[in-house]
Amino acid sequence: MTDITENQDTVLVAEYTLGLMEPSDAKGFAERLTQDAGLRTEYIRWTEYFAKLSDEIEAVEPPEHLKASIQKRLFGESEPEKTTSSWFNFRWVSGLVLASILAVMVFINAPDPFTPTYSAQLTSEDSSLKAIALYDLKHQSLKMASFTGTPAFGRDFELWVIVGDQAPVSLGVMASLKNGAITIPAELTGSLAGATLALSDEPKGGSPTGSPTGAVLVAATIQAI
Amino acid sequence: MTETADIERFISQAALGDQAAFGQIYDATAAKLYGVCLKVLKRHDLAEDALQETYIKIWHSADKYQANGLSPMTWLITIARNTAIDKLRASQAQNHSADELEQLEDSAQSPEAAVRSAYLQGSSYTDLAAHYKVPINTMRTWLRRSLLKLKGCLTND
Repeated sequence: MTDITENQDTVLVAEYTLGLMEPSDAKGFAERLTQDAGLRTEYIRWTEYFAKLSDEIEAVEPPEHLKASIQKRLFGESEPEKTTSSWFNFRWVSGLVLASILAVMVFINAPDPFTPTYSAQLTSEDSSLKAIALYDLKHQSLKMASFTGTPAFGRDFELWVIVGDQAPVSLGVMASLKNGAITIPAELTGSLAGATLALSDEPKGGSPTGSPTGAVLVAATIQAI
Repeated sequence: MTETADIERFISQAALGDQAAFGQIYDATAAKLYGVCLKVLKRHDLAEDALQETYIKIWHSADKYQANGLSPMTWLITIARNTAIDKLRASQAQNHSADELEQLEDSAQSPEAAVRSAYLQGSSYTDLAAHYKVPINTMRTWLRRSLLKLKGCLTND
């Protein structure tokens, strides 16, 4: 029989790829992956192998309206919904402007652009509140990529991060997250993979106490994409 | 039929902010990715949400694609699968006791089927151990052995 310990890394990569690892282990392993080219090669092999399991899955045409609704969520399109997305300015940046920004970034040899490797999807049961946060582990950068929802009159949605058993830490009210970029509190740097993001209902301007005071409306784990 | 090279080109154009190229990725791949979401989630409403979230992630991480070394369809399918599994786990957490185990395919009797179940149903070691009626540690050892066997298939690719 094959000695399991000799092949431990291979098995760990497979478990990581399948999502069988405990979140805390997965977080540590994701960091190893960013640093170890050999492990990344194994990761690519396993991912290609597992993706083949979907060869037998039949293609099914999605409902026609979905494409337009995705494009609207991403690019804004025709009818702007001020209440839900006016703060979310980078969705309105045209492709051309974005391309020129990227070109400038390449020419001045700036650090790599935002390259999310983790995400959290927050969706309320009735789908009235939906948010997707993307997290770039390497650059420690967190962004709200998409948001739909309107707080009650005189209220705000406040975003929280919960690391392990620690108390929730506020990341700000949704209305103040300019361009979707979220400032990560210094003490939480490096601990967001596997952490929980949550939105709570708070008085306008955010919780007066520094802890959630209203109902937690949605919560999700920041997981590898 | 859109070729792999076309999809690869659309992704690199989308990475530069080309919205039309993003539309072409959608046209060429949405039916396959919707099939994957539906296979995992079984329900059309959940699969539609998962598909939307999948393409939002694709748009925002298109610039990461070239660096990751995966073939374009693998990359797209992996994002769809992971998004659908996240959604499945979230919906199971809400309706706890419900039909978690029914999500396992009834025909799942071999180690390969356990691997398939982990991939397509997002089964955890706890789910699998309950399904096969063995202790978790036994399940873990068993599945790790079958992963090692499968490793032979990888290197011969």
